[in-house]
Amino acid sequence: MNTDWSILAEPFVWSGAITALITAVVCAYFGVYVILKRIVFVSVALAEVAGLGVACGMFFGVNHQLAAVSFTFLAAFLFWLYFSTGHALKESLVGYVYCVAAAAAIILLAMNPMARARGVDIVSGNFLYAQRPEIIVLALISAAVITIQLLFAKEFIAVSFDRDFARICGTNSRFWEFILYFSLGLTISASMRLSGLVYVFGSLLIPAWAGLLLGRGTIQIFLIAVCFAAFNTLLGFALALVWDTPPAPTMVVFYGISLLLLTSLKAGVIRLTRAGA
Amino acid sequence: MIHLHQLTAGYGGSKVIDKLECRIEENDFFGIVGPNGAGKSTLLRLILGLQKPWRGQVICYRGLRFGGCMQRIGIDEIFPFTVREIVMMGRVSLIGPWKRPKSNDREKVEESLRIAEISSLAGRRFNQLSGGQKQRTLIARALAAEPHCLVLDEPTNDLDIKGCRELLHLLKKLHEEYKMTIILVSHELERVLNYAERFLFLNLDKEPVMVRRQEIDEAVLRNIFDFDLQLDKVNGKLAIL
Repeated sequence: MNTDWSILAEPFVWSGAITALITAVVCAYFGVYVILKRIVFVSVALAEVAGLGVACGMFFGVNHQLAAVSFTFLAAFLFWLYFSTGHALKESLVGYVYCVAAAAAIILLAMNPMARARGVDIVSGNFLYAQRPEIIVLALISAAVITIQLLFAKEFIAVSFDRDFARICGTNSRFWEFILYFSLGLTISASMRLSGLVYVFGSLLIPAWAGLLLGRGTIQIFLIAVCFAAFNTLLGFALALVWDTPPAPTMVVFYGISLLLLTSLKAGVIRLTRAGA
Repeated sequence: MIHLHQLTAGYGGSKVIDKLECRIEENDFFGIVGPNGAGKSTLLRLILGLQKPWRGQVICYRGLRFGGCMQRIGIDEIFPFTVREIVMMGRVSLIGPWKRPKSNDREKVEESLRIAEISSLAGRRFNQLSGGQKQRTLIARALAAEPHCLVLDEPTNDLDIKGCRELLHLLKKLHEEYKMTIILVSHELERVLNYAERFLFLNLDKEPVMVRRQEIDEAVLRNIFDFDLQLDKVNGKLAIL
């Protein structure tokens, strides 16, 4: 483990850091919905499908981001169809999509000698291979998705909390749920090649959990999730480079440690408050 | 106001409602009573447009707005919303997409909280409330949608006798003072007997029976439930013994 901090000044490091930060912020925002709607495994299955899209794109020589978006769109549509109609086998479908997509992606990558040469790692990603066009596409997609989320936040929240009531009142619950699933799929697919499954899934789950742990109201929860993700991403990314460890897994470990610390801290504060009362 | 015309429906391939013909008038307090599995919630979902009938029609007058309080099991309490935030959800479709709540929306929310007698709980988290308080929050949310007709599915489930009585008094107040049409589903006739004015009894393998409260006597109950029930009047109220 070296401690050469000068590596942080390299331009490719900044590209990687920006990519990680964009992914972290958008995934953390969506993560709140993912936890509240209890679709954690839908998000990991979508990430796996996006990975399959990347692998397919590279294998067949088409734009891998486009392939990832198309595949994820189809999977999001399928999940929306099953979940919005309350299908009994919805969890099984998620499991099916996850394992088949993972297996197919592994086979396609193994059959593609160019994939490793281009730094493709579906599981742990590779931020240091981030190129400017990819970062621009990711930033544009993220901006569009977040704009939609903020503009229609009350519809998404109402539909997520009680879809039947929203429908009774005239809100098109199925439409808004579809947009939610599609936005989630788009976010995941846009960031999947560089970020990898572990980081995308970690960013969806852990920061939102921290937000729910500490936040007292809806806005606070979203803000805490986003700040938690941004802080741990930057810290984890910098230390991963200095320690020469893979950035994505290092950042996820930082997420995990921070969440444990916050949980312990909160439990301690509650115990002290009770003891004082 | 609402005409159920030759309505046939069911779930999972089994028919639970067969050629039901029924009208619900404006300012009605309409009770739908029956055992579990008799099709009460299915009927409610048909009325609210959440489910399509196999045959027949639900005809509502144009522009009829419903306020729904479906069973709380459909609500995931992991959500950290406050009572006020939940009541504001009743305004979502009236505010419209893109737009933020205006002062009249906030006023309507406060008024709904006041009518449901939960203004003091406005800042509390929904998942920290008692069963009765949660039910009132959902009623306030429905009121915020400015409905013509309030629809409640088993609202007294999980409530103790005090909570149940207070909730039914609130519904009575909404019906009498605010001229609200109310459709109330319950499997506990003894709880709702003195509140609803007309009843539709649904029962498995039997024809639906529709009666006014004044028409209910022991013979009617025997016919509906297939066993003897004693019906008495205590302080002017009906009591099933």
